[in-house]
Amino acid sequence: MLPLNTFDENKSVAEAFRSHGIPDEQIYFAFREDLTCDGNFGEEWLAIDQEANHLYRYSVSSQVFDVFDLKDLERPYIDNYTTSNRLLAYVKDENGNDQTIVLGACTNACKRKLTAFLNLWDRVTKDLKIENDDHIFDQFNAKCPKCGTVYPDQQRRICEVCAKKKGMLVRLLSYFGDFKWHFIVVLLCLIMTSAISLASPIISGQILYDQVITAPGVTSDGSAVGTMHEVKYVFVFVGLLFGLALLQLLIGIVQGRCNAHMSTRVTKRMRDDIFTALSKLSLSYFNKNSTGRLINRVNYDAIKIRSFYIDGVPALIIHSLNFIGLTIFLFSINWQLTLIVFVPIPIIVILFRRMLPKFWRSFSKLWRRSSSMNGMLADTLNGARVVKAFSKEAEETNRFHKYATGLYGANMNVNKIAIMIFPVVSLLIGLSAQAIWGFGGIKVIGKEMTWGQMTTYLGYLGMIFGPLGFFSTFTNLITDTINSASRMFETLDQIPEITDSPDAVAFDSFQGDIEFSHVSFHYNPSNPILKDISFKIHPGDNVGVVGHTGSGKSTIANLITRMYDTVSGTVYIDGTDIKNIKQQSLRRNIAIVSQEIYLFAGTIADNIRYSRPEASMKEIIEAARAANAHDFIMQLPEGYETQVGSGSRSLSGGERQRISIARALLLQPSILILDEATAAMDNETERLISEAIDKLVVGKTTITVAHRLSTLHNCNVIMAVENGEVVEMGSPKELMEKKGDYYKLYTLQNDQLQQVMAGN
Amino acid sequence: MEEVELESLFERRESVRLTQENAVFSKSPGGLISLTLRHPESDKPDEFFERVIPLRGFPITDPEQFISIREPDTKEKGRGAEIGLIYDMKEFDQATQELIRAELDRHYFTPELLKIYSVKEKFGYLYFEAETSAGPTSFVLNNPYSNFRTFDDERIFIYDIDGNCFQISHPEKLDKASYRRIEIYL
Repeated sequence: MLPLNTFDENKSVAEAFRSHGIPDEQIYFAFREDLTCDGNFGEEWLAIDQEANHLYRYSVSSQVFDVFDLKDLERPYIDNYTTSNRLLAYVKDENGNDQTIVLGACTNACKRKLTAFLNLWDRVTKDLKIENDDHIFDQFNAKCPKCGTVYPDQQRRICEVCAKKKGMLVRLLSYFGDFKWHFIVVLLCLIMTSAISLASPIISGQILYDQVITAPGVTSDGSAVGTMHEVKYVFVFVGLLFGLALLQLLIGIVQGRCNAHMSTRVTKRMRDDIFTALSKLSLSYFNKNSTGRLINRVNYDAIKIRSFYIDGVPALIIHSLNFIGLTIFLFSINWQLTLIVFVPIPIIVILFRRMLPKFWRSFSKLWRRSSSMNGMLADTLNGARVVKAFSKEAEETNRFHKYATGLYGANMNVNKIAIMIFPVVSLLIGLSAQAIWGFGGIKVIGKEMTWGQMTTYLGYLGMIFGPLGFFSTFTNLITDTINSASRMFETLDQIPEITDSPDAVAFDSFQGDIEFSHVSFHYNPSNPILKDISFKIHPGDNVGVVGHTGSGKSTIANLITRMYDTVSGTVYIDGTDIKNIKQQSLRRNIAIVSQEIYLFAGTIADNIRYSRPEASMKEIIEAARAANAHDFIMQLPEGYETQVGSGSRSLSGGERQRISIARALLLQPSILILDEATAAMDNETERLISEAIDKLVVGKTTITVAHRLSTLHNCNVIMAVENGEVVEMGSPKELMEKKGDYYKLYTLQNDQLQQVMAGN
Repeated sequence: MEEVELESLFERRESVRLTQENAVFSKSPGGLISLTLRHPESDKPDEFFERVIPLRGFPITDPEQFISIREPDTKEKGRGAEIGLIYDMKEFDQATQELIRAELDRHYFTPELLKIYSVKEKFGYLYFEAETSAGPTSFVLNNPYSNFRTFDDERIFIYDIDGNCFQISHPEKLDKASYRRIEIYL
């Protein structure tokens, strides 16, 4: 059986086939679907036998076994829906009319295999032999580009070897690895701070008050008080308290400096890492993720994570230490009173537990609303030209008002809940303070307790609710950090879809021979862009690609430069699979001028030089001249040093196109692809440029994608693309004789010209 | 160029509004939708389409209105050209509505999550085991925070790693245990 799906995956299927008299060896290839024909989840199998006579269908859930005669099933095709796919074919009814029948269905999870199944079916009916190592199976043996392990689940490419084995928080800590000493210092500072704050109430209460201020005597439990009842001791202990306060201040300064040192570096390193990871990723990642979100990731998430470690973790340590210390001290002074202090704790914990989820929810609503308001703002300000053109200023103001009102509402909600929680908490704290005054007062009078012990108590009581409040918000802080961290690691762990294979070959230049062999491509599984196309371009060909908008012309150009990898099939350049050519060689030797032109902030010369920074001024001018840009650049007040890019001098569409053509020509590529590169220019400029290009790229392969036939006036090969398929290919003369798509386009454009000349 | 030839080259089907009067939908022997299109206002003969495909104009907010009826997108049968537009499904009888709705539900396959048995996190991926309106299934999410989509009417869409989509139309009606499993991602 060919390695598509095999019966090893489900022995009961092999059993079922055998019970219908079909042994495993008789099956050529099989495909497992995850939907039944009636559209529910369930396992079904399609299989074709070695002689290519039959198609078998077996439903595991209903155990129905169907046999189709392959000859009866004509022109099978796949319907790609939003999230599911169906395999259909025509059969002839008794009157000889076509009748569509459904052969199988699957979700997007097995879409690749479905496509491969149809491809194999097509090939076996043409009596082509398929081997186990056929290229079509490569996509099901994908390896993790990092470690080379074959993915255990080909549909879901998750590499468990490379996946983060360490917990996220530990992984985050590794950023602080170089700051071990800083960390230890901070930790010592924290322990000292905690110790000082725990000691102060004892010094002021039990020592200063009980032993110094109180007159000498004995308490009811027999311990002596007033043992240091002298003025000099007042100075000693007040001085000690002052000294401790001073020490705490100094520790704070040391800790602050360490933190500042660590935090700025750690943030910088995180940002560097995120940016490096981002720039390695393939184009498809940038299509899926909006620029705003990515910028946020580099800026905001790094800060969020840093603040967790700089502010959150130390606070956690200090509060934990304080809480443990407090509990021990309080119990050792008077356990009954301590119980009174602890009574409100469960109430507060329950209150927080009940209210906090609500609080989070409204908080995340607040966050969502504020980000959608920001989005709306960015959208309107970017589209200011359109807003003005349709005079929609008032509507936009209203729209903004709506978002702002929404944000206000969410803000109010958060505050309302906060207002509910915190007064109740402070009331509870107040109550327990009063309880201590009451019970403690009785105990002091009954001499069971000294006055100093009671003041120590009151001092500690204020401290115990600090950690409580912190612990209840800490979970919030953690979720926030985990969110940020998971976003950051998602980017860092993202494996670039396009990577150089280990045995990739470097090329100095190409002959310019390009071949597409059974190439299929889609950005989104429900919307196939290229459907199994094959063609060959010879070195030195000047190929014109025509076709409707959205027919897949630009995608062909993108696949040649390997901006994306094919979904199935292979692209060869000079006979080598481009997956085995170093990307550096591809990009160095193939220049593409696409519809999307981007000029970076900088001078015109910088922008042209972008493709080859070492180029001399002379070369830049030559390239600009060939792109017919030299003249307009010279007219600019600052010539080649004119600042362009966002926010600077605005150039017209045609001018920008010419700069990007100059940029491509400067590369002196072996293969030049012009994807609607001259669409914004008048015919005369276009002609001038194409003549200049022809002179420059003699003997080199040029591919020109265009709507206007005038752009293609000196192409020797025309390729007509329609609906993701190459419908015609040949010399312009051949295609005119064929009277197909090219002829249609020619006739239409010729007719328009005639009408203009006739004055209609 | 002769006028006649040019006209025929660029002939295009004119999309019409489909109503009970001009469109008769029927179930084809293969279980798909066939359409007989009448032209009551002209003397053109009836047209028969062995298979037509319905598409929603507003699949998320208004699934019952503006249904485009098209030819299949294959080499032989037109290139998915629109035959006509149904303004409102209610303009058709119950049987037709059900026929078209069944096909639409196929196309926009978005099973309703009825019960979530378990959600496990492993290596940053979320593995779901759930009961859906289309039977039990399991699926994987790669980044939960960006693959949950909440609508104003509280509806939730969940997009999995394969590009499949699941929905929860009434999160408040979901049982507590199931809801708690996804709550933190909302």
